Amino acid sequence: MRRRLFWLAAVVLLAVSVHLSYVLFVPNLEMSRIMSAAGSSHGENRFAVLSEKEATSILGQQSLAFVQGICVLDLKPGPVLVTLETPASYWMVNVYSRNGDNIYSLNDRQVSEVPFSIIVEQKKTSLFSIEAPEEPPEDAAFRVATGDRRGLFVVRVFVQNPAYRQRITRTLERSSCKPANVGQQASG
Amino acid sequence: MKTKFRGIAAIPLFLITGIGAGLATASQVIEGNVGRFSVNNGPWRTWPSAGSPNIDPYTRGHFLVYGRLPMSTFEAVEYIATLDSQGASLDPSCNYIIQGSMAPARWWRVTARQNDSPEFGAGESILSQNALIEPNNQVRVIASRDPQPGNWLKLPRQSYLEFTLTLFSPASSVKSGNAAVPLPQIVKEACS
Repeated sequence: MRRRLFWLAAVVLLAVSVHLSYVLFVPNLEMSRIMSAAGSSHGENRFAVLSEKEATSILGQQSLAFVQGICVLDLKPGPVLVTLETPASYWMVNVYSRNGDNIYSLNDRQVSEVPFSIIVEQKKTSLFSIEAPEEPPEDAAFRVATGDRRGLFVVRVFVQNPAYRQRITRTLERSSCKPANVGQQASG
Repeated sequence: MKTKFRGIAAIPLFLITGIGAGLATASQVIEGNVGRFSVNNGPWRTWPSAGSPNIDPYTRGHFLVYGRLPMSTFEAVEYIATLDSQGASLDPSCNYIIQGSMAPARWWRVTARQNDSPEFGAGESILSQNALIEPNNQVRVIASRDPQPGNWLKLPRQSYLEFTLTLFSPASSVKSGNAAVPLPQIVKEACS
């Protein structure tokens, strides 16, 4: 009887461990895979418009309804400035954290002027600081602060008619993603 | 000696049972069959915390285990159906009529695909701007492997089928994902 209880408890403990490991770690591993695949194909802090095939392999979603652009964010050196040139269509921007949480959303109805810029920066985590607060590195319409050093910026532009896909792609390709202090360093 | 052998023989059984139970329960909750992380609306099922900063681990798993990034419900609400309105599993060798009112949104898309495949072929997806809409925002889509008049949704050749309904830029009544918004029924027709 005691032996059976021991094995029953051991099975339950193992099942709970496997359950939690699967739920907590597999999504993180998958997000790491997505960011690694995107980073190895297009580099970090660089904007790229994905082909339909790439959208399927990297983002796991075929993009017949969207033209999708991405930028793998590396915030360790400093804030990243994304300047978006979006066509007159329904579009949405999502910023994902390292573990796949959608930390920021924006769509065409919230933006009046195109092109526009979004700064993504890492939150300061120190409790005490004697330094003066930093000046914003660039003028940007929108600012996103995240606790992570890495993240993924995704813009999806809705394709109302397949005939517009090329034109939407060309417009979106004029967008950029770069470290926000590059221009200041060059001029300083 | 006999007791020792039984103890050794129990280890593989322990591992198989424990790992199997852990994976099976995780899969059931992630798919929304168990737990309160998903919401059912007729044959359709949605995950209300998808894409929100307060996403729960099971909803995150539902999307990311298949390598998909969840969109915010502010931007898009996704419903998945693996059963018809009578509660029977979807069978790609049968024809289905997806009909009824559509929840208010700027655009919608209905897709027929395999669960684990990110790809779908031409015709396996219908966008609202290409669809024939009946009066009072009523929708009628015929899902079949063979060409059909009107809104034809081509069914894949695989043995497993699910329908996905995505509402893009949905009305605020839809965004919470919890409300009983009007969604079309899935009615089974003839099977081949």
